[in-house]
Amino acid sequence: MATSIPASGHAAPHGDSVDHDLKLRRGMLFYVLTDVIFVIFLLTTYVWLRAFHGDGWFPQGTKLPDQQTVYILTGLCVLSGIFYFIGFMGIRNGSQATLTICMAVATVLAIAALSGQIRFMGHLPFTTGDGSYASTYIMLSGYHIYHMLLGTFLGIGVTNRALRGRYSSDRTSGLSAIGYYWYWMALTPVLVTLMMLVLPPNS
Amino acid sequence: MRKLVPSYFAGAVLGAIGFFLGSQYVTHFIGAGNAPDGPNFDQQGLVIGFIGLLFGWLLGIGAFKYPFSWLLAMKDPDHEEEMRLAGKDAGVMRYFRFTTDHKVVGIQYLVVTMLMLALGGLGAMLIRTELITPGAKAFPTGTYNTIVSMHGMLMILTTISFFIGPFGNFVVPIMIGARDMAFPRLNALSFALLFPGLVIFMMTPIFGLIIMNGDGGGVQTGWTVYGTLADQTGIGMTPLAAGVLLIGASSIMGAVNLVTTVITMRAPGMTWTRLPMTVWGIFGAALLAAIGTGAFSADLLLILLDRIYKTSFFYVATGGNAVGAGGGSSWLSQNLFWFFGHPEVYLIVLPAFGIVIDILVVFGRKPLFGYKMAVLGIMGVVVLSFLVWAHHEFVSGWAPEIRPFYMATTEMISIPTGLVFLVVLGTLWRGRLWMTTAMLFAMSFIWNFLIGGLTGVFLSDVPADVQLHGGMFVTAHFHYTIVGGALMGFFAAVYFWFPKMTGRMLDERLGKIHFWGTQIGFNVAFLAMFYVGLQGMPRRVADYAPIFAPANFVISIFAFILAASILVFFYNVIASWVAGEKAVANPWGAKSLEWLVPTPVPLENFEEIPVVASGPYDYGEPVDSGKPIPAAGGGSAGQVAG
Amino acid sequence: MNEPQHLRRAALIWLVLTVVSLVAAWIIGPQLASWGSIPPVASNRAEDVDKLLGIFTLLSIPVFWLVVVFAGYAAFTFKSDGRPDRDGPGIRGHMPTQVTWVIVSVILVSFLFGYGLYAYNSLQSASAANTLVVHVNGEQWLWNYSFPQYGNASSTTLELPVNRPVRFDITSTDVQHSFWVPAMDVKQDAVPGVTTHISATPTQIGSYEVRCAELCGVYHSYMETPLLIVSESDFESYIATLQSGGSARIASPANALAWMVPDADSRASSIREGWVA
Ligand SMILES: [Cu+2]
Ligand SMILES: [Cu+2]
Repeated sequence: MATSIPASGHAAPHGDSVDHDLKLRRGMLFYVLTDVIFVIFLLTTYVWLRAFHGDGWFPQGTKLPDQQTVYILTGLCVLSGIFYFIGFMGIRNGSQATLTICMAVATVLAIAALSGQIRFMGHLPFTTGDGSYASTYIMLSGYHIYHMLLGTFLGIGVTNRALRGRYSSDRTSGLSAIGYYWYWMALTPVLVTLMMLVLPPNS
Repeated sequence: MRKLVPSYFAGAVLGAIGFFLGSQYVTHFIGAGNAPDGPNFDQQGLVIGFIGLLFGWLLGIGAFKYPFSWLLAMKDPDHEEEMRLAGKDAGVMRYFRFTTDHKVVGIQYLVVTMLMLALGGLGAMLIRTELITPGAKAFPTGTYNTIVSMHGMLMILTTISFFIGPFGNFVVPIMIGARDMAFPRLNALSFALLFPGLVIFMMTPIFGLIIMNGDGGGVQTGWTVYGTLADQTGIGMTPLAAGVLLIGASSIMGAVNLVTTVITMRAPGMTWTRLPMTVWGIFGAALLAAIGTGAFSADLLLILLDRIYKTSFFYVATGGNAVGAGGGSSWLSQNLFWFFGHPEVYLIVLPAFGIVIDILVVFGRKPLFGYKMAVLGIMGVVVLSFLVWAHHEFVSGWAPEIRPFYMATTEMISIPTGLVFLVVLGTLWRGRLWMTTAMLFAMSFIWNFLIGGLTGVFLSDVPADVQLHGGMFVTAHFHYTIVGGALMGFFAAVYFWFPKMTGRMLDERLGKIHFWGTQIGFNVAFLAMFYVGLQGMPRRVADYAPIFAPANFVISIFAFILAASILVFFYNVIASWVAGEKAVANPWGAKSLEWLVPTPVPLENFEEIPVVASGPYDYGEPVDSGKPIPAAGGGSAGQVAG
Repeated sequence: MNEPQHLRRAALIWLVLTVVSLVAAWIIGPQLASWGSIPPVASNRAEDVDKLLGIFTLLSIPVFWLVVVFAGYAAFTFKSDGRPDRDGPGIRGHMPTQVTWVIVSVILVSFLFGYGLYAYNSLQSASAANTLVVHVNGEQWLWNYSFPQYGNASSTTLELPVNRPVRFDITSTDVQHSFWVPAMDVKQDAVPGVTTHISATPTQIGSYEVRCAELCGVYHSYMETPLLIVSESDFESYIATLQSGGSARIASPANALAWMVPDADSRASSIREGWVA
């Protein structure tokens, strides 16, 4: 393979021409994509069992989880995603204060949703042994809790770094990369709630 | 002492403590789960123990250092710090700790995948020992089933990682002109997850066969882990599923990293049409791994939940043994599994396509015949392989009306595969073939994969599959694609890149013995297996009817010959690594970038990132006019330009 | 030697090998069943499928030799003695060859698909009026049969009347099994919770075996029972025996295992109780 010496100097550190911001964003995008695919398979499980179930799908007397609580928890997640976005747009326009406040709010909302979710899971009207619907509901909510745990870690980190001024209007790729994850984390409970509660399982 | 913390040794110690605390704490304080037969181990305890093991291990190797310094917004590591993490001045110890240099990770993968290959091969030998004569004499049938399941699963894990791991890590970044992978820490982490995954996986016989101490304690499912059987099989299933989940996570990380690397890290001038086929093959495989693995992970997760928490994903309440409400579906498990399972075989074999083509070019001294066609072949396989999985369910009874569709897509996949064969033949034709061991293995790929492919066409046909499905014909077919295709490609790749990776040449004389032993052992054994398959011998049985005895005897004998020749290979690798002939930078006269850097490859690969001015296949002709004249001639240039 | 000569020689070798192999396959093929190299042919399905396998074999022979001859010819003729001192010609492709290759493979694949589809559809033939229905229930590790048209007479060994179409309705009580009669080319998974179907018409009186073709637990290897294809009158007496509560004859077919684990039944239940999770 023929190569030649680069004619001019190089912009990137220690002499490569890699766009490190692009790399970070692409990498996170692919990671989130694999997570999306995993969740798609979990949702496929739900759709499949619902469509082709036997007697054990939704045994007589099974109660639905408390819808109001679920809507509130889902709302918290969505709100958290919205705050993340506002904060991100804020720093794009150069406002450190918007970023810091919004990231803090987004993280607090996520923690609230997480602890609410854990509490809620302890008081479900069914257990894992109560048929496929109950199994799927607990499995999907459990995976959401894993999402939120990781998200909380990221949220605290981002808030902390925002406080110390690690971001600026031209240093946002870390934020947009984590943003991909954050928006996906906010979207998952919406999908789950839509599929599992808004469309009642016993219809 | 300070050298040992953090390192893999500290990780092992903390991992063991984590496992003990996790499994015992849960059994004592949270309460017992099911299967109280074992001394103080239940399934839930095991899983918590595995989590403890993982965290202990990651803590011990120092994998948490960066995430927490990021969390606390400490100073970003400077270049000096990064280099220390990449193993600068660490000597041999860099192979035993969390090291980010892609070359170190590549070597780590090489060693571990060869170890896995040896373990899986041991399983194959145990199977053939049992089957050498009729009658289940060597092992009780439950133990035999466990060996079959572990052999299958372990070999799948080996073959999905033995290209992406060693060569994807060591070779690909240099080939595209990068200093490292896109995310060096993630790279080190993906290896660091493979290892505990393997340890957990190997606990299967310990818990299943020894501690559970019953013939049924092991894994009875085969590598396909169909839900209904996986739900009721012995305690060994739990470590198996957990270990494979972890290895799956590791391979997803590796895949994300490779895809990002190839997309964003190519050197200036390294356009998509100048990528060596090896990169294309591994890139395609990484795409398949990133997309397909999720289905399998979901399947395993649901199995674990079914087993531990009595959920009803696969559990169908029929008859008197009901323990839960039921409502599960056995077909769901099959579909989740095969949605991964079919792309998975291409994930194994695509890198072999690329590597074999590259090796044929180098030792044929001729440009690649039909570059675009080869790329089209590989990417065509990537796309089509997600549309064919239900050909594994032609006799499952699921959705008979869509069988013709899957028959069509499956047969269609032979068109892109056929393109690769034309590329191979066109490249060989009128070359100057240099018959090194690497070249011999690359050429044996043609023969072996051809047989695998043609017999695959038989199985793609619904009526023929009804007779052949679940029999030894299928076993022989996929061994022809995976052993005959991927493993031969792996051997070719090891003989080819060993000089670059270790700085020493493999012994060519031993290589020839290895080659001929492998070809004879493999081909006779598996052609005989096609024969018993046609006779009607089912797969995965410990005992068989007398009519199958002669062929099985032949299979076993030649399988032992195959194993003996692979022992020669392992001996060759170890002996040459220690005391082989020293390798020059470009012993084969190859033209892709990894051969233009010195051996051993310096820490950041290139003193200065090269600007690529032409493709890697410039043999036998002056560079086309119109393209820039290269500054440093390709040919046998011993060093990188600049 | 120049390029066209090499090509002509390789093509000639290919032609000779192809013709020889085709003739050999043509002669050997019909003998295989009598040599025990393929299962006996005892149903209409088995006859069709054997024909199909034969046609696929004939089609794959030229393809096989094409690749092997050209690669082998290159390996022997273009071999250099040690490290080559010069390169081969710089050919980067040849459009006509590439286009032809694609067209031929598309034609081959279309033919395979068309023929496979035709064979598939002809095997899904409509059920005849006198079809015998057999309920098959897989269980670790035996097969239970019952005959709904004969007052649900049931048995663990199967006898079928010759030349009368049979429909198997298959299910399972525990895990997934696969109901396989090699001689009849019948294979269909037994899936818990659902019933699957497959039909065939036995054509040869004789003793054969039923195997399980899906790994189903500890004694999967022994999940194999005899099958007798008998005359209509023998079948009537088999049913009569079953209805009077007697057990059927056990005839061990030539290809069978030493039949079943001695006490598979009791082992099965004790094991199931042991570790159903
Ligand atoms: Cu497949
Ligand atoms: Cu079975």
